[in-house]
Amino acid sequence: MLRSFISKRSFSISFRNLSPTSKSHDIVIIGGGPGGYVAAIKAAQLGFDTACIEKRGKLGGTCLNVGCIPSKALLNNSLMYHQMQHDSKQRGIDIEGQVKLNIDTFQKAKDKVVNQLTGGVEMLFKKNKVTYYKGNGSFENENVVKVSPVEGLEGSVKEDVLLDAKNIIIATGSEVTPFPGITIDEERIVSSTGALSLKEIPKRLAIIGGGIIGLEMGSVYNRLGSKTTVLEFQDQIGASMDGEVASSIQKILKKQGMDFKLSTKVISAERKGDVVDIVVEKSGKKETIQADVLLVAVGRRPYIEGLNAEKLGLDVDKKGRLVIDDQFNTKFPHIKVIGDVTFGPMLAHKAEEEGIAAAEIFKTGHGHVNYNNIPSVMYSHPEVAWVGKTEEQLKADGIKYKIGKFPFIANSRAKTNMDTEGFVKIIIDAETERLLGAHIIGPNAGEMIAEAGLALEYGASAEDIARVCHAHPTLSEAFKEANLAAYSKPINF
Amino acid sequence: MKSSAVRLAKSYTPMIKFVGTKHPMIDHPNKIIPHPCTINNMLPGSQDCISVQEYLKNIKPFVVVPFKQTPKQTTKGSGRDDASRYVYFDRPLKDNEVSAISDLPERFRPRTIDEIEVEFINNGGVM
Repeated sequence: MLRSFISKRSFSISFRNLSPTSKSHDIVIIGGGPGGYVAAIKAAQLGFDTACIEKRGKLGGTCLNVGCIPSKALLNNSLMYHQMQHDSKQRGIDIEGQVKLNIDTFQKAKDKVVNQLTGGVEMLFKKNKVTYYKGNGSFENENVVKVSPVEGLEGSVKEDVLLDAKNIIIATGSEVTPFPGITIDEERIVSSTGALSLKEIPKRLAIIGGGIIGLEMGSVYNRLGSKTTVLEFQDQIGASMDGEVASSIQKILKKQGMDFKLSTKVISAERKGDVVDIVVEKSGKKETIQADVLLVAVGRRPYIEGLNAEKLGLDVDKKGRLVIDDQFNTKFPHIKVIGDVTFGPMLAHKAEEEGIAAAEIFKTGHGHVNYNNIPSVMYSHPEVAWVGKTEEQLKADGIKYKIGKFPFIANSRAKTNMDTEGFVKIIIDAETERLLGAHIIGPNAGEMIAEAGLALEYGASAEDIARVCHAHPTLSEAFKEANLAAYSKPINF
Repeated sequence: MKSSAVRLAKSYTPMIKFVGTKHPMIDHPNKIIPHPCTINNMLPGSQDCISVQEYLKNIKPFVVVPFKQTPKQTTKGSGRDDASRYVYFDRPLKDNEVSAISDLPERFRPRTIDEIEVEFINNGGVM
C-alpha cells in the first residue's frame, strides 16, 4: 500500500511540471516593435485585456534597437562632428586644437538613447496595463499562442506559457535580406545592424545598395572620414524617390565626398583578413574593389521564423509577406497582421498606423490607413522627404499636373542657418490644383513633410496651403512659397 | 466681455473648401476586399499564395558567421596610417578552375534574381 501511495505522488508531481501555465487575454500581439507595441497600447486603451510577446528582450523592435533610432543618433552626432570640423569657422566659432571623435563615447551616446526609449516603452506598457511576455511567440492553434523561453534572455518566461486569445495580431516585423554568396560576419562584412556598432571608423567603406539605409549609413561614415562607395544595380539611387529629387540628392552627396557606381552588379565579396574584396561588373567589364568594411544594404524581408504559422496554414506571397485582406485579416478573421511582415512599405510609422487601425477594428469594426498618404524620409543632410505621387507615377497614370518649386537659397531662415541646399517641389492637379505630391530636399524636410501630409489628407489645393499664414522666418515658408509657385508665382524667388 | 479670439472666430469663415462631401464611413460588408498594397489583388487562400513551409524551405536564412582567420588570409587592413595592400596572383587557370562565379556551369551558379525581385530589393524592400 505504501508503494502505491509513493508512485501516485510521483506521478502527480511529474504531471504538474510538464503542464504549461495557461493564461487568457482578449488580444495577444506577437512582436513588440513599432507596430506591435502601438497596437498593444491602443488595444489596452480601448479596454481590452492585452498581452504582447517579444523575444528580443527589449521592446521597440528593429526600429528602436537596430534601426531608425540608433541610426538617427549616429546621423545627428556625426553631422555635428562634421560641422564643427568644417563649418564652424565661417560662423565665427574658432575651435582651438583638433576636433576629435571618441568612437566609444559616440557609440555609448547612441546606446543611451536606445536604452532610454526601449525602457520608456516598457513604462508605457506598465502604465496601460499591457502584460508583457519575454519569450518566443508561436501558434499552438488558431486560438492559443505559446510563449516559449529564450535561452540566455534575461526576464524570459521560465517555461512554456499558453495564452488563450480571443484575438491575435501578428507583428513579427522583418529581417535583413542576405545577399546571395556573401557571408555576413558583422565585423568587416556587415548588415545595417553591424554598421551601427562598428568599433572603428573604416578608411574605405563600400555599400551594396543605394536605398535609404545604405545612403544614411554612408552619410554617417562619410562625415567621419571614410571614403564611401555606393554600389547600386539600378541606374539611380534613392529607392522610390522622385527622379529629379534622386538625381539632385545624388549630386549633393557626391559633393560631400560619396562615390557612386550605378548600373553596377555585385558578383561576389569575400573577406581576406582585415579587408574585403568585392568583384563588380558594369557593362560587361569586371572590376575588383577593396574596402575595409562592406555594408550589405539590399533591403529587408518579412520575418516569420519560429511563428509556426504553417500550423495554421497561413498564406504568404513569394516575398514571404503574410497575405491579408483590407481589414488586416488572415484566413481567420480574429488573426490580423500588421507592419513589415505583410504588404506595404516597410516603414515604422506605417506599422504604427496599422497597429491602431487593427485595434480599432477589433473594438468598433472600423479602422483605416490611407496608404496614399504615407511619408518617406531619408535622414541624410540635407534631409529628403516625400509624400504622395511622384512625377513618374503621374505620367504613368496619364494624369496632367503642374509643378511649383522653391529653393531654400531663397528662404530667409535657411540663409540665417547657412544651410541652403535643396528645394521644395509641389505637384498639383493641372485642373483642380489639388495637391498630389510633395517632395522636399532640405533642412528639416522630415518635419516639414507632415504639413504636406495633412494637406494631402484634407484634399487641400495649392492655394489653400499658400493662403495659410506661415510664421516668419521659418523653413516652412519655403513650403508655402512652393505652393504659391504651383498655382501662381512665388513672392521671394 | 468676449475675448478677441472668440469674436474673431465667430466672424471668420474659412476659405478652405473641402472637395466633395464628408468622408464616407466605409461599410464592411461580408465581401472580402484585397489589401490596398497587394499586387494582383491577392487574398488569403487565392492561387498566388504559397504555403509558409514552401517559402521557408526555399529561402536562405539570415545568418551571421563569425570570421575565422586562416594563415592565407592575413591581409592587413588599411587603417588610417596604413597604405592599402592587395596581393595579386597572375597565373593561368588550372583544370576545373574558373576566374569568376559567372563562368561556372549554370547548375553551380547562385540562383539569379528576377527583375521584379531586383526592383523590390533595390527599393529597400519598398514597393
